[in-house]
Amino acid sequence: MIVRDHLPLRRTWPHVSRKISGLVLLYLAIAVAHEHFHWTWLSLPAFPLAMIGGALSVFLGFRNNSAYDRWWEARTLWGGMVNTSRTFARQVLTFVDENAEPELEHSPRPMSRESLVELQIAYVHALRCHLRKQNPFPELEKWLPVEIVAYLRSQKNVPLALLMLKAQVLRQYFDEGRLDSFRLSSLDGTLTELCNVQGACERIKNTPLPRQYHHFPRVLVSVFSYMLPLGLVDGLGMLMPVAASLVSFIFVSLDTIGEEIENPFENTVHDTPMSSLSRAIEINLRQNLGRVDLPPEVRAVDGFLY
Amino acid sequence: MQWRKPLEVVFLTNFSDACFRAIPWVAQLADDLSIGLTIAHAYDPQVARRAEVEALLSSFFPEADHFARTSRVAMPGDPVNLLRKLEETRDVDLVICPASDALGMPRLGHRSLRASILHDCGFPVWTIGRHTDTVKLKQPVKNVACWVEAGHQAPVHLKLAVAYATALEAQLHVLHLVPEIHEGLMALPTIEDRPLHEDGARRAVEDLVPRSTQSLHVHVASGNGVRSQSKLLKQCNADVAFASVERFALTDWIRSDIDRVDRHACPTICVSSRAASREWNLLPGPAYATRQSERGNLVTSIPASFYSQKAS
Repeated sequence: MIVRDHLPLRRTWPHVSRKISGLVLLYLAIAVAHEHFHWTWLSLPAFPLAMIGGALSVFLGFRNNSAYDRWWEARTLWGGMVNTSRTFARQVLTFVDENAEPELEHSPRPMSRESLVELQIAYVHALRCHLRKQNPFPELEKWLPVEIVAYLRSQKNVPLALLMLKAQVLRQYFDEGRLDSFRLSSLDGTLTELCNVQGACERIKNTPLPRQYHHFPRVLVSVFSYMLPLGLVDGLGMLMPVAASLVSFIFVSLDTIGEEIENPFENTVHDTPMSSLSRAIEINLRQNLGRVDLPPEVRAVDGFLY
Repeated sequence: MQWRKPLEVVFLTNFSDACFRAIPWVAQLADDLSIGLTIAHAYDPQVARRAEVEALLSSFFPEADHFARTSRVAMPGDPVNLLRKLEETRDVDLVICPASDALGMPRLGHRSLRASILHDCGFPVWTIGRHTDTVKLKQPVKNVACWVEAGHQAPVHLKLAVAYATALEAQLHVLHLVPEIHEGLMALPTIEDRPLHEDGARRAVEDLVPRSTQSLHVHVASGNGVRSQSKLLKQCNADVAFASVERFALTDWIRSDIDRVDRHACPTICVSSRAASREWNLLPGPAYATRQSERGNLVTSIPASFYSQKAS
């Protein structure tokens, strides 16, 4: 996520450099042909082009709005993930009776409340990796015992498996009498909320914006950019390349922006800042556990928050 | 038996998009192999203060803090000097660095950071370009390719590729291109001792590879240029390739061959002949145990110890 006001050229230019460089060369060639070689047939009336430009703006605006909706929904879902994680930790630490003895004398001592909260931290990191299609296991090794990681490796959906583990622990707490049914129901509701957030993130990840919204703006922007100099060269002469390049830059940029924000979980600068948010959750939850060795917050690097 | 040790990786970062794009590859590497990761940044003391740079560095690739062994180093000066200083205190087996085409435009006569590192330090270098295939970066390495020249001694990058493929239990594909035959080539065998026929080249290539190497495939084809190289890499479905500096011109007039291959086929680790004394005796990573258990009993149910064991 970009958090700086000023976008440096070295960051923006590479995204549009190929298209714009090619167009500038074309515009220069047309201007020279029209002005110096008097190829006057290389011109079109400007009015139809203005109409096409107007219609294209509406189309691009609509597409970018849809792309922004996806981006904003992703950000909102991760905001929900922060809140729900805090709720889960609070509920576990206050609802579960740590001092209750197992009813059966030889039954194994269930996982501690602290470990269950750490499972939630592991879950958040696993979900981030799952959405970015990144290997989560080097990170999970820190939070979970080796045999649990080995079990998770056999699972296609690692965060979902972690949710299941959490539910199993809660069930065991209930069986041990450390959690009454009312509190179990409340905690289960929180787990359901986590599952809903995960499902919504997966929906955004796996369902692209309709391909028509992706394909046609790109084709129409290209056609418009190629035709634009023909409409301007009569009036502007050798100044046409400057004006046409600026107009093309606007359209190409709008098209590129829409294209890049439509996928908010791709580990790019336009991403939902999941690294930062998952670190924030980790800090909050570890602080809830009374830990003092907290990792530093993830801040924007060069104006970009990941 | 030689002592196995973790792969010491230095991840040079300038906080560009390309650096962030490399993160999944490093995460995968940390799972496949036991690695020691050093995230390093060289800065200009005239432009930035050390405290600011260290704050930025700690926010870059925060996931790495959870890896078994990660350190972060910020030093004033240029990246090559930084690497030289790092080498005084630790081993450097592989350098990951961002591509230097920051503006996405070719820079005539520009000497890349990769060329400087290979020439001045001799570390194997893997460069992340804007066009590096991100899908390849996120998947486990199953096919390792290595470019060799027939008729020479076993090159250092072949030894590294063998070590890498063995540690990952990946297929090793040794690749060689014989030049397309034309009249001008008839003079070549008189000045160079290398076979020009595919069968002869195949035998020569097979002689280079250690006999003990498992899962070995030799691919020989005729052709020149990036297109033939990319075609051969795609044929063997390579996830990563090893090449010598001599194989790919590092500074072409406009863009290096290696960048074009990166773009069309797979990422390439470039090794200089200065790395002749370098050996990788790689220690498998946490994923190794799972690969072993996949052959035996896959852990598909929650272990009983889960309920009584406290997480670390």
